[in-house]
Amino acid sequence: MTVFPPGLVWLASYPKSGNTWVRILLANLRSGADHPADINNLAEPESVVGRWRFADDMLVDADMLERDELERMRPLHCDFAAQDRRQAFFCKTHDRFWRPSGEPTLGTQARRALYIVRDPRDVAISLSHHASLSIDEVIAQMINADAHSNGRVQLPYAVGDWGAHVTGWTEQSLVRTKVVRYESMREDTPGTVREIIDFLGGQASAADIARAVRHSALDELQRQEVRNGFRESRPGQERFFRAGRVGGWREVLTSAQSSVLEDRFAQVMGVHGYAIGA
Amino acid sequence: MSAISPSMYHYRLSGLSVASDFALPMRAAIDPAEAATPDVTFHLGDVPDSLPEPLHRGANWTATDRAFLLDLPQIGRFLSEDGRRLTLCPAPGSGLDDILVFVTGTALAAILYQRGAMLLHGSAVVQDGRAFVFCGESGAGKSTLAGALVQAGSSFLADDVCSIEQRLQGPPAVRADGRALRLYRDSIDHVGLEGAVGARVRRRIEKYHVALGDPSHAAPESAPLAAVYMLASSHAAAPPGITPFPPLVAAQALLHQTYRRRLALAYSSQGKLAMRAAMLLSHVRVFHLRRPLDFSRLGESVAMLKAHWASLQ
Repeated sequence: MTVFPPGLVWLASYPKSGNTWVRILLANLRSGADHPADINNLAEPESVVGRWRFADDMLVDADMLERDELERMRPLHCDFAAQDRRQAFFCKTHDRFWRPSGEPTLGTQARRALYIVRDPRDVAISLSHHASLSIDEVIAQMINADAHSNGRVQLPYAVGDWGAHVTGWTEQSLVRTKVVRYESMREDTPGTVREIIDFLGGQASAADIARAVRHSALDELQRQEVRNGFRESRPGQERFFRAGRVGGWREVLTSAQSSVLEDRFAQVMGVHGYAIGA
Repeated sequence: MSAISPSMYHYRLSGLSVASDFALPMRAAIDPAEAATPDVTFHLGDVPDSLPEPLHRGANWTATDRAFLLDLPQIGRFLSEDGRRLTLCPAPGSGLDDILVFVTGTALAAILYQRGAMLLHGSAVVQDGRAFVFCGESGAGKSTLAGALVQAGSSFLADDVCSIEQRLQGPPAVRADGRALRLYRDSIDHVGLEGAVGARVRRRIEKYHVALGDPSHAAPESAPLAAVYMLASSHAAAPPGITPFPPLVAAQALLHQTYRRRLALAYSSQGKLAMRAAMLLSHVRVFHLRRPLDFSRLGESVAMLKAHWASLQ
């Protein structure tokens, strides 16, 4: 069983970049059980980005607040929640780091953050399947600086465009953040997990890591999804846990489609090792 | 700002007679003669930023054993004292009608908790003299389901806050919260309540007060509680259906759906809340109600509930 120091840790990413996989890896590390963690029992009702926890802590329902009122209250809420140092608390978020007004969306008091980044061209494919949208619609969303999401469980949040999402989290210095490339996780999962544990100050043996990686393998997640379904999948979505391939965009995206993302995000893609036209 | 006296508006909310200096968007205005000695008074006035030496606090609120203060930036401050007096201080530029939802929600809940109430976050309807409560988070569809059930012949009892009155004998009772239903435009259209739409709940939020004006819909002041349903959406891993919760899970669910849980805990220990849940469970069962969230399938949920109520006779 892997133990992490107490405090709030953000698991941040642009949607469909491997966040759920990291959550499952962490759940399996922490459980230390001889069987895989249940993918339908990862739901964190106490998630700081969820509507229930916001109303429970702040004593007002988010749907009774205007967007700017909510955005003003969220950092207060997150910083208050981060004061709770009784245990390690991992919280997934797709929020961008900065509000347009220049203030941090989620406050500054989290102990650490992991930012998971994935080639935007592969994100486009994954997001297209997840949201049942065409590639062109998804690309339009990925370059939209005002993109935001409004769900029933999660608080409404601003995602913004892919490039600003990545730079917002990776170039800030208010919350200690480790950038994790999805492609590196796929290439060397145990090695990347070891780096994550070290960054978070956890303690785990090689056997702990090997077991957690095995219990979080794609075929195990797909097995559970086929047998029981996955509560976080969207209605009508055939499968949540797809191939998650690296470089799949070369066969799926037209050159015009990949060019839209490359032209817009060339600089950020270069920083994170995603070669243009490669 | 100074309070205007005497209070001009009178209401009955969750079992309390209320005299208010300002009009509330509430359903039940009672005869002023009945309100000669109101349980609670609402005023406009100054409210400090926070309470000194609070026993409990959150990011935007403080509580002592006799007072609760909620501070909503650029909306207003709300002070609930001694279970008797509620003071509202709108933020500069804030319209009174735009912030009353926080008076009748959290600030009134603090008054009720200071008076020892048990509150569930749920809507309620009455059918054949029995009250059925639907708990769920904001956005879970509590009001929409209550609206659909009223359209199908039930009487409306509560929209968002269910005050539970424990009785010496028999099941506890649910008190009318005195509110109108509050629904989003898409719910209103699907439930067929276009003719009953009133003012917006807040100026720039697409949620409306919906007055169920037909006298045949008028519910009693309270009704004995027959069942509590925890609303959940059906999904890939859980099909629609109604299943009873085991007692321990039911108790946890009731605590989870306590209205403004941290406020309840400020005025009542965890143990006392658990004891009340246990008392409720000695008379009433709690069920998990999973149903599709699509409005087009609302009728299925109504039919499923009516069949379930018949089985509970």
